[in-house]
Amino acid sequence: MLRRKVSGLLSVFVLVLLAPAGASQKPPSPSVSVPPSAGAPTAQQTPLVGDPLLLHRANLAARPLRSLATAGVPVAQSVQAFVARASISTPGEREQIRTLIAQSAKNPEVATALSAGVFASRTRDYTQTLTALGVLGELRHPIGTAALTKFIALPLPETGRRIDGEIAERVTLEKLQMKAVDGLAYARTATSDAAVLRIAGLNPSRAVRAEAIAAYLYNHQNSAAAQKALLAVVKPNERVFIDRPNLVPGTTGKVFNAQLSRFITLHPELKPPKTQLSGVSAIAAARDKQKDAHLVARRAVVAPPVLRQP
Amino acid sequence: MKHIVRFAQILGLALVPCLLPVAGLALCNETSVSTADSDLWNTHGCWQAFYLWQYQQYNEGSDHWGDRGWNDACNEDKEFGKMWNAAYLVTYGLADNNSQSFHGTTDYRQLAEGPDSNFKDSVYYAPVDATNIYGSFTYHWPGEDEIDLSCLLFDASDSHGNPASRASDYMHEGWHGWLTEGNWNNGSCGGHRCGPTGNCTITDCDYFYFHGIGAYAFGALYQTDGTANRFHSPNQVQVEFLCDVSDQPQSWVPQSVRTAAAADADFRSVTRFINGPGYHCGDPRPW
Repeated sequence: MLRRKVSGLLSVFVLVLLAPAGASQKPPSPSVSVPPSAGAPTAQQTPLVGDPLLLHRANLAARPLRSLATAGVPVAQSVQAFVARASISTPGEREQIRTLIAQSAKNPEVATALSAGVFASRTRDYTQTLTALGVLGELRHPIGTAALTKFIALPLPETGRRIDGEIAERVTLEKLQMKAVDGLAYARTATSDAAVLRIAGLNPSRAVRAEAIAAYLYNHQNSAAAQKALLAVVKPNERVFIDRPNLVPGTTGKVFNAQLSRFITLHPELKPPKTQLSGVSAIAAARDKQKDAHLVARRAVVAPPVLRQP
Repeated sequence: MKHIVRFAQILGLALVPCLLPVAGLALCNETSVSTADSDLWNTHGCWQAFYLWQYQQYNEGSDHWGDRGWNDACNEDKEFGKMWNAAYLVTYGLADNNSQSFHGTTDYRQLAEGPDSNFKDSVYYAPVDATNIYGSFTYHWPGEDEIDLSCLLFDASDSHGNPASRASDYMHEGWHGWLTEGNWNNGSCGGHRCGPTGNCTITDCDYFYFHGIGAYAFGALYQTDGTANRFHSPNQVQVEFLCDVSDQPQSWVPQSVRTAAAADADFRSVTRFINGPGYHCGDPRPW
């Protein structure tokens, strides 16, 4: 509140000093009605196509989905090509990719190559590693499951770039470990289930513990037995994870809203407190109104170029 | 994600030269691009008509982006290319499914884009070399508000250096603009509640104001009844956007973009909220 009052007084002070102020600090932008000027971004090369999604469709067609292990191609190479193609895949290709992965479920060379890939790329390309971890988890090969367990056990960095009390490098590894625990839970063996339960209770990362809980429940159809198993290992103050809503793709609003109602009913302690105004002063309110008046010329929202669906 | 009210420029004219827009020093890593960025990029192949629209709609200028790809707009290694690539996702990438999406493209576009709207005052975007933030919102008076994007949002090795997370930061910082416009007090730690506290594990925390699917018509995200029953926090808007990218994308959005969105949403849901966790989204099945 004090901040806003002080800011209001300062505003009046500056209004006197700088009047008629209010104009943008930035130099004027080039008009949309003229060709790109020196101030507008330019491409070193002319774009190749004018219809983006036609290009995308051509890209997919030019790279048909192939097996993880292709005759005559070194496994490391075919695995790398598969992960790259899976990475650009569309939601509509999901089942086809699952089928192709399942065809290599008994291939130790594929599991070994995929495992090596996730360790090799994890500090270089986060999103590529996420994709590779997804393929490795879906494979459900014992070599892969062992690699996932090892990946989740990688120590979290304690030094690095600090942001809001977090370490960026640590966050990146935690997110990858969350994806790895999805794969471990999907293996659904006695060993992997025990490992997931151990992670749900004891992993040093709260995010990884939470994902272990979600994945364990998902792979056991949210059964009462699964909830009981989790209740036995989860930290008391994290039991809320067992009840939380899960918006799996395809979940209808009706189903999700029912989950949410149940969650809120079970956990009234999660109700947020009353919202608070900043205690804005009349002077500050007048200042903001004046600012809005100066900016009114920018109110028009321009429609983007039309993206035609092929 | 920080929210800053910058009055230094109006306190001392002597400081003005220091605060004038200057070209960036380009210390970000411009030698790599994330797989997700490349995958999304290859759906449009550097669409000139789009980036010539986007730089104006997001209020980007050569003064800030000059040596970050402004004159090399089809170079996906540069910050400008990555910036507009994420904007492409916001503009076209969501399915807007009435029965399954949290909010619609019209919400996310108005929140992210430059012009004054129901959501916030006008903003402009600038890249910064800082690595102690992901992004920040700065209130300016007079003039347009400012959203800064740090090098981490352009770094392939960082979990935020992908189109989904970058675009979600546009939502987060834009929501600080919404809070400012409505004079809402969301806390004194960079526009958040100071933490760690409750179920929030970081220093900048929010509350989650739970709502169901369909609670907000598309275009109505900005609305509030002034109570916690109909309200959003910056991290919540970010989570809901990421969930919509993950679970309700257009049919052509690459898997790498969707998976990165789910990972960011799920991590954020369990670490950012005093009354967390927020929603879990994405498929727990690995593929």
